[in-house]
Formats: sequence, C-alpha cells, structure tokens
Amino acid sequence: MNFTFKLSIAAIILIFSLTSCEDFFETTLELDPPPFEKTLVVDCVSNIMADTIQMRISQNQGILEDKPNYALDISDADVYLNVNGMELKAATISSLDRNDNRNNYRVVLPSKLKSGDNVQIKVTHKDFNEAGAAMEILPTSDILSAVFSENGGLDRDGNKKSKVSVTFNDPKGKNFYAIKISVPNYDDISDYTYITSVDPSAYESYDYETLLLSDEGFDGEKKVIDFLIDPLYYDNDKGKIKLNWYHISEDYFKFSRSLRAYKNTEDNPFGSPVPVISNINGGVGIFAIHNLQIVDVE
Amino acid sequence: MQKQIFKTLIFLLFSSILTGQKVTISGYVEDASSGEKLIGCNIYHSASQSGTVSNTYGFYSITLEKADSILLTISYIGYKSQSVTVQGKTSQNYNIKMSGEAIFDEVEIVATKEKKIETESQMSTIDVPILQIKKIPALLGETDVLKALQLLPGVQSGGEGQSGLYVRGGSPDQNLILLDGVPVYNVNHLFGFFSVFNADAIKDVTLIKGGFPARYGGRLSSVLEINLKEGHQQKIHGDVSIGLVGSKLTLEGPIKKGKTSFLVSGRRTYIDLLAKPFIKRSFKSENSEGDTGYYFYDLNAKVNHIFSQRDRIYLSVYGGNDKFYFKQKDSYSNIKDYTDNYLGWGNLTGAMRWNHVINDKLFMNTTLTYSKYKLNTEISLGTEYEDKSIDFISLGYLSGIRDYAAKLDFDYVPSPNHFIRFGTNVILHEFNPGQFNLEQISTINNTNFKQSLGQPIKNATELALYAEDDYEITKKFKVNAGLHLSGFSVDDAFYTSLQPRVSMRYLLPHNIGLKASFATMRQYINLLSFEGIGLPTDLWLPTTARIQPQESWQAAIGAAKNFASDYEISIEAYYKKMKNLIAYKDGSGIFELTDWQDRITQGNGEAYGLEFFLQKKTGKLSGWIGYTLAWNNRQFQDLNEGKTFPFKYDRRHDISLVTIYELSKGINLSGTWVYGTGNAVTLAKSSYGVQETYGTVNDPYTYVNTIEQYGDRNSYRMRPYHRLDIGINFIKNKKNRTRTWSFGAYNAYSNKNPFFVYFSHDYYYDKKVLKQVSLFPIIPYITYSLKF
Repeated sequence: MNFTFKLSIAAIILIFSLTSCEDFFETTLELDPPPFEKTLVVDCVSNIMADTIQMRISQNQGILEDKPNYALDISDADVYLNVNGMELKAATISSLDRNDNRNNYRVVLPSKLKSGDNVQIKVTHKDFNEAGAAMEILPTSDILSAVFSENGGLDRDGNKKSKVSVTFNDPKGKNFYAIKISVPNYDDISDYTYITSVDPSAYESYDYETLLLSDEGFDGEKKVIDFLIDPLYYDNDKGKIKLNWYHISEDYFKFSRSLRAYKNTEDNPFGSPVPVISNINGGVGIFAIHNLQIVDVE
Repeated sequence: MQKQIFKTLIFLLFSSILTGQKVTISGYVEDASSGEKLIGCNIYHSASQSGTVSNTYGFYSITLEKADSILLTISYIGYKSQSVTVQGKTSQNYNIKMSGEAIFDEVEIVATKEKKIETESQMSTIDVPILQIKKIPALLGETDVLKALQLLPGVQSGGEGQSGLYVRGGSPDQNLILLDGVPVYNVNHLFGFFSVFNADAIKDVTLIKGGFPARYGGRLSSVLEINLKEGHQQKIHGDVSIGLVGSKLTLEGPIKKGKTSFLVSGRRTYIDLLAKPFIKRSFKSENSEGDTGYYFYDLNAKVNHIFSQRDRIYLSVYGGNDKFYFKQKDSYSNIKDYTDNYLGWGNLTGAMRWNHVINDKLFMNTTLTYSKYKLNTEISLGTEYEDKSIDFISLGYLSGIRDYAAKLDFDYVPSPNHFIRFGTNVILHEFNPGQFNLEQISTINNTNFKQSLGQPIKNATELALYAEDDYEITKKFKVNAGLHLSGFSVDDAFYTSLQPRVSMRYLLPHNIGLKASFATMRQYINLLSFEGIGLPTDLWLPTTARIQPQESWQAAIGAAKNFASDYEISIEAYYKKMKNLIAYKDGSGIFELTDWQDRITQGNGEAYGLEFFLQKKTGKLSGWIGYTLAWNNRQFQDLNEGKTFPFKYDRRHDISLVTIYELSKGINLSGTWVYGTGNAVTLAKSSYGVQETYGTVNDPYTYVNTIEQYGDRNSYRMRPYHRLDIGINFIKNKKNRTRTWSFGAYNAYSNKNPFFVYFSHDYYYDKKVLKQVSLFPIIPYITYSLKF
C-alpha cells in the first residue's frame, strides 16, 4: 500500500512535469482548408440616374490565400449588359481612370434606364464558369411629402435628434427601399448624414448613412415614417436637405442586411458567422440597379 | 373529457369498497441505518406474481387478495434483498428497513435482480448510479453529475469540459432539471466547466430522455430529477473533501432521532484566496493597489420532519454563486483613479414539500417552490481630485428569471396492476430580459445622473394538469398512458396544449422487453444563448404573442434485457421532430438595447438515431459501454437561406466506455474513454472583395472590403474528440471513519481536442493558417476525502 501510494505520487509529479513542458492551449493545425470553387465575382450596384453602368469584375481566392483585392481584378473578361434584349458590351476602365472608383468595366447607356426595363448582366471568361444575374427596374415610388422637424426626440441611445418625416404610398406586393438623406456639413458641402429610425420596418444597412425599409408591416398602405438625423449645423440649411429614395430589389435588401450582420459578427467570438447574400448565378457578388428619386425636404 | 374526470374521481372515492375482498400493505422503504428513504425499491409478491415500487418519497402501496399471511420480497440495488411475512387479513402500514453496508463495502453486497429493465413500461430512462459516478475520474477531481450523464448514450456534451447536456438532439435549455422538485435555471459554474450540483449531497439522479410520463412537462428534450439526501436519522455523519480547486463539507444527522433530520453541504473554490498574495504583489509592482479573482460556492441545506406515519415535511434550500471581480486604485500626484468591476451570477432555490398519506392507497405530495437566477454585472470608474471633488461613472447590467410555484401530486395504487398519478401545478414566472443602469456623479459639473435602459420585466403564468396510469394489462403487456394539459398566459396571449403520452412494454420470450413510446411536449420558456458555452449572459425569455412556444414529438422503439444476474443491455431507436426552436438572427448580439424578439428567429429541428447501452452494475468489475449513432438537423427560414443544416452538435458517433475495477477492498481503479464525431461549424471557404461607397454627394469614393465566403451553415467538421480519464481511489476504513485518497488524470494521453478553430496570420511564415484552440491537456488531480 505504501509502495502504491508512493508510486502514485511519483506518477502525479511526472504528469505535472509533462504538463509544464507543452504548449497545450493553442495548436496550429496542419489541415487542408475547406475546398472551394474558383468563381467570378460580379459587383454592380447603380441607379437609374446614371448614364453609364459600372461594375467590378474580379475573382475569389482560397481562404488561406492572402492576395490584396486589386490583385484579384480580372481585366480580360467579356462583360455584357442586356437592356430589354439589346446587348451592350462593357469596356474596361484603365486603372488610371478609376480615381477612387474600383469598378473596372463600364457600359455607356444609349439612354437612361427607367421603370420596367429588364436588365441582365453576363460575364464570361475562359478560366471560369459564366456568371450573371437579371432584374427588372422597379417603379418610381409615390412620395407624398418629406418634412423636416428640428425636434425629432431621442434615438435608441438617448441622443437628441432632428427628423425627416416621409409620407408615401406603398404599392401592393413585396417592396424594399433604401434611404439616404443629404445635408450640408460644416463646410457647406452636401454630405450624407447618419440616419436612424425607431420604426420596426427600418433596418441598418452596411453603412450608417443608409437605412433600409421593408414593407412587410404596411404592404399596400399609406405609410408615414420618421427618419432621425443629427441636428443641422446651421439654421439656414433647412432648405438644403435632400431625400434620396431608392426603390431596391429584395436581393439588394438581403445583401445589404447580410453585409451589416456580417460586419456585426466579424469580431464576435460567440456569434455564428453570417454569409453575405449573393444574387449572381454561377459566381458571387451583387447586381442591383435601383430606382432613385431625389426629393427636396420641406 | 369532463365525464372521464368525474368517473375517475368516483373510482377513487369508492375504491376501498370496490376492493373489499382485498388488503393493502403500505408504508415507507428506508435505509435501516440512516433512515434515508429509498426510491424505486421493488416490493414483490411472488404468490400472485405482482409487485410495486416505492415512489419518489419512498412510499409504497400494494393491494393483494386476503390471506392469513403475505410474503413479500423486497429488493433494491446495493442492498441485501429481504423477505418479510406480514399478516394478510387486514390492511396495514408496514415500514421496510433495508440493510446493507452499501456505501463502504459494495463488493460484498448480494445484488438482486431488482427493477429489471425489461419489466418497466417506461423506456429511455436511466437511474444514474451515484456511487459509481463518485468513483469515476473527473476534471480536477470534482465529481460532476452532469458530466457523468454525458457518458450515457443519447446524451452529449457540448464543448470541451462543458456541463451542458444535449439530449437526443435537443439543447441544454430543453432539459427540465429539478433539484428536489425545483427547476434550476443555470446549472453552470465557470462557463460550464463545473455544474452547480454537489455530488456529496445527492441521493439519487434519474434521467428521462424520451417517452415522458404525463407528470412532467414544460421542456422538450429531457427530465433530470435530482434528489438530495434527507439527512441521517440516527447519528451525525460528515464528509469532507479537499481538492485542487475547491473543498466540500457535508454534515447530516438527526435533530430529533427518528423524527427530524438535517443535511448541510457546502462547496467553495479557493483559487482566488491562494492567488491573493501574488495578485496583490503584482499590483504593487506596478505602483498600484488592487485585487482580482474568481470563485464560486454552493450551499445545500435540507431539513425533514416526520410528524406521523401519514405526514412528513421537507424543507430544502440551494444557493450558489459565481463571482469575478477586479478592483484597482492608482494615485498620481494627488489624483486618485479607481476601478471596481464585478460579474456575478447564481441561483437561489427553495422547496417545501408536504407528504400526506390520505389512505393506504392514496399518497399526496404538496410542494411550494421558489427559484431565482440572476446575472448582475457592474463596471465603476471614478476619480478623486485633490480638492476632494469626484467624477464617478457606473454601468450595471441585470437580467434573470424568478419563479414561484405550487404543485399538488397524487399517487394512487388501487391494485398491483395500476399505478395512477395525477396532479396539477402552477408557476408564476418573472422574466428580466436585461436592464442597463447608468449612474454618473460629478461634483465638478454638479451632475447627478441616473438612467435605466432596457426592456421591462415580463410576468407569465404557466399551468399544468396531468393524469397517468402505469397499467399492467397482462403479465406480458404493460402500458403507461397519460395526458398532460398545459397552459401559458403572457400579456394578452394564452396558449394551451394537450399532450398525449404513452409508453409500453411487451415481454418477449427469454425475458426480452420490447418497448415503444410516443410523447408530445411543449415548452413555453426559451433560453437565448450562443451555442456551445454556458455563458451567464444567456437569457431566459418567455413565449409571447410573437414568439411561439417550442413543440416536439418523439417516438421511440427498443428492447431491453437483464442477463447473467448483473448485466443490463438495451437498444433504442428514436425519432424526434421539433418546432418553433429559437436562434439568434444572423448578426444579432447579446448586449443590445433592441427588443429581444427582433433579434431571434424560429425554426424547426429533426433528430433521430440509435442508442446502445450495456451496463454491469455490480461486482468487482462494473461500468458501461454506450454508443449513439445520431443525426440532428435544423431548418430556419432566416438562416442558411432557409436550407436545412446540421446542428452544431450533430454527432454521428458517440462512444463512451466506463470501467470501475475493485482491485482490493481498499483500492479501486477507474477509467473512462470517450469518442465523438467533431462538432459541425461554419467556416469560410474563400474570400472576395465587395465595394462599399462612402463620401459626400459630389465626391463619392469606393472602398473594397474583403469578405469571407462561407459554405452552408455548419458544413465543416472539426476533428473528432477523444479522451481517456483515469483514476485510482485508496480507501481506508478506520474506526467510525473512512478516508479516501483519489488520484487521477483528465485527458490522460493529452489529446489536443478541438475547442474552436479560427483563421489567423502566421507572421513567422507570413501566411494565413487555420488554427485550433484546445482547452485541456492532461490535467492531473488529487483529492482527499474523509467520511465520518
């Protein structure tokens, strides 16, 4: 018994010694990353006020690859925009012409797009499967009024806000909107302002200057919604406020919300990862051309 | 329905007349030396080949044909079986005392074939052998009932070292965990590495995984019933154990011999106390004062009093808390900065139970309970200036749940063929979904600001009514059938549900019990939790007008048999369908001020599988082998694009081997080995750039953000998990006391089991790599315990 006891003590000491020798708590695995398929990335977001439709065509990379984004650009793809059956081939934009714009292809439209137009994008490349998407330009919204009030109450964080109240008629069926409000900043330059709403139909977009709206709770009804914005810098700026009202596709609504959610969980160790929604067949990315109205706020 | 209830009442009232030619023997079954009531003890009348079992309070009742004398055989695992002859002309009370030095000398006990698995109508139920559990190795030597349950088929663990139970595809919130009849809401200490149950105070543990009897309700996946010891009726006994992280003390004994007894059991960790001098020195080395640490404690207390043969009362209380704290005070040239932060969470439960024997066939138990779980965290920062002016800011967060409940349960045993249970209960829930309290004081700006933000406390009422009968139709065919009616009232919504339950057994040749069961369940309260870790921030929330109650139905079929006197084998297949399960919407978080209902989504689940269990309960070599083959899927409209995906704990293969070997009278060896398919996680497969536009109206600029592209949710499998734990116990009996030295090691071959995986950048090789974090390497333990 005594011997067994001593043996056990010796074993414990040995085990402790082993424990202290190892870097236990983190191990770099020699594992292959999950398999993936190389695909084209199509990123084309525009609106009906544009004379040209620009897009960025690139490729994805394996999760353990670490190339910078510009190295993923594809410059030798064939990119076509089809508007109501008329095929328009996109031209490449040289990197010198891009300035702060990352788009590497553009299509000059013979005329501006309008409600009801059917638009398709198609991208082909010898090393990738064909990628593309199609959509219909959504109708112009029936905005009845957009009114500014200095006193907009408090937002969810208890900050004092001004507000823009918008009244509009929502058509029957699923409809989604994106809202931006521009106000002069302290340098008197028209700038998009931080925008929130306590309305349950409103959702955050990937940036804080855009708010998304779903008509799930007011389908086919007249709707009044308040958008909270930061108080103006100068009183005489009241007449310079503009409402940018986008009638967006369901795909873009989902994409924008998923990108917001993706960013929210990016650094959250307990959150489940969020996939960013794509509407590109045969590839990934987003294709969306919004109907845009710019309304002066009273 | 009303007619049926009326008929049943009439039947109960006139039962004694209807059974005029019969006699009823009833009473309590208890341990001869301690007076501890024995649950599930078999009382068998061989002449009529009929029998009964004692209920949760040790009460039994058996009605037989009149005779001059009646010979009963009583058996209970770990005790010597005994035969008693009682007079059989009139009904009478007869208390049975079972003897056997089971605790210290189990090897010598003559094990009888009591409570044969194949004869029970109930299936998917395991009476957890607490004595065996105490002998098996445990993380840091802390015997943990919940972790021992994870070694059973159909029960899975979550992450490494976690106490959470995933029963047949369910999640931990779907387990009804009752401590002396009181639901315990948070069963975790230290993020789930330890459970709140102190094994020294526990008398008995039963786990039901399916085929739920009608008396249980309110959860989808399992019922875990834990009963505390009542306290020795004759003399004071104690149990002290000292381990690496904490110590325990249990005392029990009579207040008035044979009438009133008590039990007090406490446990506290002391890493904070041991580390205190080092921590203070560390603060001092940085010219600061401060303290930081973590501890948890549990306290169980129970008193029971026997008023008469008919009336007994039990009072039990449990309190447990975890606390992290950090305090620091810095002084710089007449300015003092201080920080005081803490995070605390814990349960408080209480129960008062009154057992009343209405007549020799009808037993009543009335229970009043209280249960509270609270999370409280506070961060305070302050500055005191030379002129004594101060700036102070404090942010607190409080969440939790509180229940007041009343229960009335009846056991009615009109004949050996029937064991009828019926009763009702009401629970008043009070949910606190999370409140922030902000306080700011500044004598410089003359500010005194207080604000509470968050969501209002919500009250709800849950009701239930049940009736069930364990009916032996023939010697071969036995059915337990019942109905559970539940209701839930919250705000303006009222939900009701009628849940049929049935389980049955048919005895095949060679004493093979063929079993089948079907049960529907409904759950009105939800745990909003991030999968995997038992965080104290997990929120209990009610079903509301928007959030529908969780529902499930489960069907199971199986066979069971005892053989070679002490072996038990069972095989079961099950299929479970779940509805209205809850999960966080993509991108939602815990500490948000938005309505929690906006943050969650509801969906469906499906789990099916096959369980195999071979157990040897007694003898020199005891233990079990459990194997589960399972599939577990989820489907949420808002997650994974509406496509079905595997649950994180979808574990195709789960194996556990548990062995205890009595090497000699004073030494036993034990080992457990577990293997499980790796957890399913969502991992990025590739990355690509997405443009985001910012800037002013006339001067926009585009930024390309790299985003990771995920495969389907939970489509990547982590490495399989496997681990060997070993232990040895040296037991020495001395006069009036027994001391035990326990040595062992958790993860004896130090397998690097995955806890989570993530992508990182290896700066040495300048490349992106996939890393795995493993929590526990080999962890040795040593524990000393003394029973007196």
